[in-house]
Amino acid sequence: MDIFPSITHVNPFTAIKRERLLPSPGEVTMRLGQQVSPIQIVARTREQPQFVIINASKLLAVPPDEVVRYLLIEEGQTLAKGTPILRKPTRLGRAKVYKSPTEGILYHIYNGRLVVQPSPQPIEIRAMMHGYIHNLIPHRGVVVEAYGALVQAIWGSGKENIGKLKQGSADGESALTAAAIDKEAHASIIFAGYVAEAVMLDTLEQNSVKGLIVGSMPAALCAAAAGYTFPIIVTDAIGTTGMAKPIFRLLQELEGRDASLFASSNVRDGERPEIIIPLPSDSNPTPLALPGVKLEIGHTVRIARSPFTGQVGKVSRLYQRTKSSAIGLRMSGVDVTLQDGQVVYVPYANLDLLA
Amino acid sequence: MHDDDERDNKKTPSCLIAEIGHATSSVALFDVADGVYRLLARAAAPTTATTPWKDTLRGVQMGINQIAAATGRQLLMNNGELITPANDEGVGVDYFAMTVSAAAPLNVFLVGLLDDVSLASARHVMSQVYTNIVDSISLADDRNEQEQVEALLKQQPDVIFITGGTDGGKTERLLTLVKTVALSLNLIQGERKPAVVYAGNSALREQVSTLLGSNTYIVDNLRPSLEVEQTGDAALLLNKLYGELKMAVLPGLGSLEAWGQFEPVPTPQAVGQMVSYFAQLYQKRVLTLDIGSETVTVALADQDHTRIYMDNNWGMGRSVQHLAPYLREIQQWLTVEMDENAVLDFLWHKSLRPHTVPMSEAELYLEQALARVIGQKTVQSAAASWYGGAASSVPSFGLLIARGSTLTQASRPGQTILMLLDILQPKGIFAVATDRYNVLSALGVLAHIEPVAVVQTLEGGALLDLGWVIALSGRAQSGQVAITVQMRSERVGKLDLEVEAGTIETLPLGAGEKAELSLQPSRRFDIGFGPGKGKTITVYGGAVGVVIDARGRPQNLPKDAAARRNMMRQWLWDIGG
Repeated sequence: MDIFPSITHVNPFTAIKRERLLPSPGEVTMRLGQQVSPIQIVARTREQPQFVIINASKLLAVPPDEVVRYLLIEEGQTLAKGTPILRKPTRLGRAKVYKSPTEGILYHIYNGRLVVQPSPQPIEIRAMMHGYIHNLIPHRGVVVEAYGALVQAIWGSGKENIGKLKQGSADGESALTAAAIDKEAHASIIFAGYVAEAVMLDTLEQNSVKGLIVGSMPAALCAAAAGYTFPIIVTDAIGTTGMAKPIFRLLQELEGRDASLFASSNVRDGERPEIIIPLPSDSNPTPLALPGVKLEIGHTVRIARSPFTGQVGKVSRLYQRTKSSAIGLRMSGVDVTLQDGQVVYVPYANLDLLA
Repeated sequence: MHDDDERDNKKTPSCLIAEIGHATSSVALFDVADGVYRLLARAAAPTTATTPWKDTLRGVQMGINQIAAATGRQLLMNNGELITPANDEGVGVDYFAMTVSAAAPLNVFLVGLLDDVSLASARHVMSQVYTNIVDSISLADDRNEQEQVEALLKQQPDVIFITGGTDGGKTERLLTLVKTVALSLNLIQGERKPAVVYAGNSALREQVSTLLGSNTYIVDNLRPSLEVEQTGDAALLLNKLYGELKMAVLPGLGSLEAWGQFEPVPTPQAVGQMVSYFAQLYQKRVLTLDIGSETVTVALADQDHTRIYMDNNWGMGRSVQHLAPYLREIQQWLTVEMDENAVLDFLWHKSLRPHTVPMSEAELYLEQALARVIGQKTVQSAAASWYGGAASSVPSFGLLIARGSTLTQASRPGQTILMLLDILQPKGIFAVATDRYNVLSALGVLAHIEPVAVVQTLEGGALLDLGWVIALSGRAQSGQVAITVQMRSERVGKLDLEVEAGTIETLPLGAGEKAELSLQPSRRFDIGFGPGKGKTITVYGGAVGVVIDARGRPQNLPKDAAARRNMMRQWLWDIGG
């Protein structure tokens, strides 16, 4: 029976391509092949704010189709805040003038309403990593290519940042310690096995860290994570089970290097948060595992469910038929030999191929 | 396409039917073996609709390859295309069809006059289609026009659904809402304007078409009078829009469609067809509860009518996180102590890893507790939607079919029955089966292609019979006899049993076995024939046997947590779990 496990990229040196796209069409500011630094702007556009609707019919106390009689401006005309837009004579011979509450253009007149479109606000997209412009996507952005380490995570708090990697716990099974949040923390992306207390996140905020990578974090802290200014990435699990050894080891090896955190994800579209650590391209990159790869004996896998959450091992036996698990669920799976030598039958739904 | 004449001369056609779900794409091969039409093989592979594949074809091909390996039958050409029709050497299949639930739901913005009349009817329509209600506007909405327009623009719905007013009634207030929609449509820039469905006062139809433009569909007024609700026309149109706007854009679905002669069917619709088929076949009311990864569906069919209720807010996958406000409800179904934070962590983890399955007993029972809460909430909503706000349970039924892996893949079949009893708290006598091989939707499609073949397939064991349940309504002190049962079967002989109030008992009756049951409830209990009234019935066995549920209705759980956990363990033990 062929098994096609989900893949989590934990690759120490590979070619990484990442789209940097505007939310709406705009201008691409880069050339093909151009070298970029993380803070360079690669594309920009102007975001359209919400329309402002002025109920002129109600203001003037006239039927909707009579509003045009009192209009001082035309559709498409640019307005400053305070520009007179409506004028209605009163019985005393004077006139009441209504002014625009916002700057913009008169976009539309409908059913006695004036719709003003305020001026657009600029949006800029930065490269967010060292690399080259691999591809231009007209009016939308670029594809930045870099060489380096790539780690895919399971959850992110939804922001992006760059900073130097700094170890925050003794190993992947330990919690972030206050001692690790020293004077160098403010420029750093801290990585640790797990964080279990909100006070630790507060301390990171006070020290203006650039980001946090943890193997696991309780749901209550994840729910509060959006309130912090720095991005948070969880690589393995929700809870306090820590970080998978290969991921912690890789981050440890690259401590002190610049890392880019992409903590946003769209689960429905299969996008995951990522940690990218650009490295000099002086050796051959290992290609990323392709989707649809068949699971084979010897593959390194991570287990996604308790009591083995986050544990890593090697596939040691494949089965042609379904088999009962330790709790009596009959399903397809493989034997995994864990790093302590224990052999566990794992349903393939609970496996991540680390590659 | 085969001519009818040509088909008449052929054997019953072989069919390959794919179900493309959110997490898994399963493929089932039906054909004649040993002279009987049956489910020959079934395989599952990950659904490949999203990154990194972005091609549903891949997952289906993986599943087909597994079937080919298991059966030795060549189904795909070297280029991955399906071999169809089958040739005389048994290569390929005659028909390919598919059901789809992987597509995102239609995002619908509701506009209606009154919350508890027009919007309530609109929600009844939405519960029959794979939809997600993103927001709603009614006369009770305290947002001003600007905020309502902003909401319409921000939500970017696929469909704006307008309803309200009875035919012949006043039109002014509904027209005001229609003009707010018209203003919003005028402000939507670019090509992505939502479709508008108008199901309101018929006097406004012409004006609505003029105001809202060409992408407006007019259907029957949901409430032509206050006493009448008609949702069929609107549901039909929304199903069509779901196909066009959501299913059709699933990457790779076009290639799969080219293999077959049939349009893809939304999975809940196919399940509904099959439930209706069962009701006709067995001449009894049939209930299906499907607790899926992203959707929970309840379908109830009798010989005249089929009702479907879908809830996209609940599911055992990503949306399991929606249970976060109900931690205590979850805890009350646990057999072991687990604090609220641990349950919350699990909800988040499971929502991020929706495909995963339990590896410890604690998590198995936790998932089953989630299924109980999700199932109860959905069944209550379905009952309220079908029978009015006060209703909280569905009427009695003769056959219950469970779908969804938490229900069907329990470690022991007794756990499945216990979950179903806790969720539905049914009263009466009924048979229970599970769609263990996840083929019910495929059978729904097959019922259209070869109705007779479905009967043979069912006889061949496409569903797993769990047995029969005698569920008592009533209440008495524990220790008192609730019902006296005498079972006579060929294998066991005569078996007499007194079942005490507050307990569950299981009588052994294996698959394929038949027994006579003489049932005599005490005067405080009812098995469907009136308090204290007994009957002798014929029942059939299954993986569990015959279950007597004398816990009473409504089912009360002990307030003390330790006592409650002990009781849960006892019930689990009694039902063989």
